Amino acid sequence: MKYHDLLQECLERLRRGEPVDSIVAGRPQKAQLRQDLMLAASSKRAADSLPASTGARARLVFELRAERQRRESQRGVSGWLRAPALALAAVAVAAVLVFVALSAGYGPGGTAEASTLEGVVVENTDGVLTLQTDDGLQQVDVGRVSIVSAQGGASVDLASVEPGQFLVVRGDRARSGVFEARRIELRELAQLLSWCERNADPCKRVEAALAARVCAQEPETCQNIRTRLAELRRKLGAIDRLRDLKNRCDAGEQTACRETQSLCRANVEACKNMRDWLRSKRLQ
Amino acid sequence: MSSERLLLVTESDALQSRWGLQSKDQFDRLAALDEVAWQAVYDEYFIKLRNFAYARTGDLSEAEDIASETMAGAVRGIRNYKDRGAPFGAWLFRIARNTTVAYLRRKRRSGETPLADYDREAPLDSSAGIEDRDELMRGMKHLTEEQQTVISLRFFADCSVEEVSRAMGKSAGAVKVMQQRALASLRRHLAAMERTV
Repeated sequence: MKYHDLLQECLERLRRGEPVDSIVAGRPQKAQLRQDLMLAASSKRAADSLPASTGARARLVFELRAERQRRESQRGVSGWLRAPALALAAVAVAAVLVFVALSAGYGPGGTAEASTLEGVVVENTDGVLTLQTDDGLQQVDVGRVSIVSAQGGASVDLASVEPGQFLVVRGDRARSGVFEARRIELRELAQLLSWCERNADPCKRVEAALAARVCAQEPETCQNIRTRLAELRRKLGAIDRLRDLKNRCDAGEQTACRETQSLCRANVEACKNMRDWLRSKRLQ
Repeated sequence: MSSERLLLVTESDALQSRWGLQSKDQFDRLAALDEVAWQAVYDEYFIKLRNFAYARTGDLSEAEDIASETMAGAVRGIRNYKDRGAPFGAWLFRIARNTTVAYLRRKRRSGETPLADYDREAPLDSSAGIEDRDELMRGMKHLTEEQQTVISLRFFADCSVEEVSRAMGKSAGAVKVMQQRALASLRRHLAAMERTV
């Protein structure tokens, strides 16, 4: 018998309460076996000596309620499909969608379109994230995700994602139109600024969306958001100023070049995308 | 998260397993978020999950949080469990393992758990009667992640070899070998720690 099988047999006897001495008596490799069994018994005693749990029943009950609410809200979206008159229309729409999907090259068996959303969190409740994206407000079903990847490989709990934070969500756009997240990445402010540069109008709509959804209900949370947005505005203001200075510097205005250099030293994040340009002007 | 994917087994495997749900009715009640059914799961698993997490972190309050987060994750993901048909206890410990790994990764990045460099070739003749829990926890930190998981599941969460094999996605034979190596390695490190005192 191999040692690992012998050890396992002895561990089972130990688990049933037999004393170590009687288990190892007459066994080959008795000394090693005794040490392993003693260590296993010590580990078990260490576990048994832990204090009673402070318990987390309240959290369990809270999670059950939250999950029920999340399911209810999802049913609300799809509930209209149960009405018989609308169901027929839905079948027709579904048929058209299937035709369109097949025409677009999605073969049989494909149930969703993999894609990526970028946007600012406007709301995070009951398993649904509402994002302000470049294509308007989008709802994301986060039922399949519990951990959010943060910068540098760290991760944070989904529940801790707050309105005003910038996310990249990879997932599938179901034919129902619901975006189901598979992976969520929390991005740095610099990337939000970069997104805001590319999507000026949606970026400006973030504040209004946040004010309408969060500030009316949760003034305390709103205060945090306003602080974050004030910072965003300040950085965006710096970006506008930088853009203006950069144009003037390109036009040969030396004072604008020097001012750009000084502003970039104070706003490293805002100048991340300008490194090549700064090098070409020998301003770095 | 690909390495953290749930164990894929058939539903019949799940029902046959000692660790699987006892009946479809029981599962239906969990899937329907029945509070009484979930309280029963809590009663059966919370302490085991907490002890498992404690063996990995050495911090009781963090272990309680991880066990609590595991239960919460199970509530949120019970619909996925239905789809995959994994044995229920194995599924819970899989969530616990993932949650613990994520927790330890965060701690390591923030530099809170530096590991001492003990001699890996230490003799095998010590630690047989170790009684100090803190010392045991320190020894555990020197094992590989898989070895820590085996010890934590087997001796802290009181799982059988079959249960560990389900939770880790390994064969029972592989678990027995890992268990043997983990105990041997733990003995070596505890002996090395004793020598340095």
